[in-house]
Amino acid sequence: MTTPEPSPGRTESRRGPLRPWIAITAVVFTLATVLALAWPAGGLREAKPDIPHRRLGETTTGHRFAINPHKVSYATKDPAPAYGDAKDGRFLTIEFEVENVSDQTATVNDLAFRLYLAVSPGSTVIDRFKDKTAGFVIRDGRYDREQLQPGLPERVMIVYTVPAGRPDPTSLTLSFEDQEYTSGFQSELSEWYPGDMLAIYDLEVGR
Amino acid sequence: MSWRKNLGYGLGLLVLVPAVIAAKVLPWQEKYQTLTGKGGREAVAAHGQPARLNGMEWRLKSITEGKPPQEFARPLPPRTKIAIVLTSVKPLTEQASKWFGATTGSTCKFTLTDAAGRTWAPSFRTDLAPKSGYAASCFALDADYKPAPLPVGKELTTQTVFVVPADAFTSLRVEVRLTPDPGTVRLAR
Amino acid sequence: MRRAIVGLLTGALLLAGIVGVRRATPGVDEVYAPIARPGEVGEQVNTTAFQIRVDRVQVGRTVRISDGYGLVGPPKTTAGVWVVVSATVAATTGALQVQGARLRTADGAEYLASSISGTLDKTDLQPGIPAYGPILFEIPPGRLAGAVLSVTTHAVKALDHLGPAADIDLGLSGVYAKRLVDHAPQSLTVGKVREL
Repeated sequence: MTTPEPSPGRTESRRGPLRPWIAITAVVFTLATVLALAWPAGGLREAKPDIPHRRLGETTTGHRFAINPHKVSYATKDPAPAYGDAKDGRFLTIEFEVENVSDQTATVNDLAFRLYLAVSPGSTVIDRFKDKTAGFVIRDGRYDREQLQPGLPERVMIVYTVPAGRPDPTSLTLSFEDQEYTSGFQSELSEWYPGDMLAIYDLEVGR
Repeated sequence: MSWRKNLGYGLGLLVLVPAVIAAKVLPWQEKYQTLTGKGGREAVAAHGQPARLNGMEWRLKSITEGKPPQEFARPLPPRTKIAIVLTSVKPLTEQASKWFGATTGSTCKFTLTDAAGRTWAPSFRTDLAPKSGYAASCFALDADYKPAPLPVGKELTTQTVFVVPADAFTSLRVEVRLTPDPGTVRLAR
Repeated sequence: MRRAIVGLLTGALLLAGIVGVRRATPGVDEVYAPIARPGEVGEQVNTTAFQIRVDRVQVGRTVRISDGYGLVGPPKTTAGVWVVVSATVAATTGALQVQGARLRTADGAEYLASSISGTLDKTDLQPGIPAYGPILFEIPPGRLAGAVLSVTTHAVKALDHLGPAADIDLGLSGVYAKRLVDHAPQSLTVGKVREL
């Protein structure tokens, strides 16, 4: 009598029926992981439509602001000197009708952070932080207010300097980015985060 | 399952639970200290005694009552007194000496606290105490009005002025909150 | 068969329970919201850091700020109406400001107090030294009914998590709010903050 040797063939046959399950589990797991990662990243949402191009006087409404740029002008004199001290330089001024369409108080700065500017000729990018010299609500002929209260439309002026050594601007491309009050990556608590690009304004610069 | 085996699990839990809590809480400690201005090391000094913290020796020199402002100046709030506080600080180590000259991060915040635990911040008014040659904060300024290291062993006297309710005046003590190495110096009168 | 039905029912019940608990669980913003004590006009509300009493609510088309020496500033206009809340505030334990003064309207919108300087919400408060003065709000007239005054110590919400707060019912019923707006004076002169 011989003791039966554990043959490799038998081990194979015992593992055999397990194999399809391993494969199925692996496939399901991989799919689930891909879905779990893609869903929050917006990968399964509808593709974003092309960003519309707009003109002077047209309104764009986002989750926080509705804006309507109605005047763009260039000047070599500071249009809004802070505390009476006029700065030297060349200035680009944009005037808007703005309504805060959210349910929380905002400021002109909150809007200015979501506006991207490039001027022609020369396609010069104007830095929305560094080149901004003033931003305020025009009320009572004064420049000392900057709050935008929900549902109260205001006339808003934002002033930028034109970088030195660049030609005088004749046209402005102004891109307006949305903001959404949602929980973000840094914290589970809700804050205003940048959203989709809502519109690109093609504007003539007046003198 | 025998009780011995359960004991093993119990002991394991006794170690694991505090470890998990510590791992969750400790990363927040620094945030808590920065946000609330509490926590960190403390040095408490009794009447007339110096307190040593972060290589510095702190001393309360005096808390005196100031004269009410002139007739045409803005009056004090009703039922209040002016407290003029003189404190001194002396670096004992090289590191502490450098703390005085650091341009970022090193701050000291003076407050007054009474027996009931109420705390007052210094007044911004400059007309409540006669002009003195003392520092207004714990920084030694050089000729260009820039913070400079204070030599080891050299004393710097600071004058701070407070407006406090009259009923708090007798039980006041001084607290100095230091950063970036968080700590609080408490000086009793 | 019975077993299968019992099993299915139990499963459905558990699922319903899970959905119910998920729905009832407050969101992170609610969990970390400031801890508000309720009150109404004329009543002292005590929080852990400050005490507040709303003494008066007025509505005006424009406001003018008086400097306390008889000089009155130019009228300040608004796209809505001005709501002037006169209140007394005292810090209880440490120095603070009540910068997070907001009008919360019935539809949930929050109007932070106006940035005009010299008002009660921008005043340094020290324990034992109460102050009386105005807090100014701009609001569309149609949103006044049902508005509640919410007061915290910071204008930036992230600094107020689980912090002290007072929610004060201003008694603005639909009829009363309409009357306030309809009879709003063209100009309202607002005094300076006084320490009491």
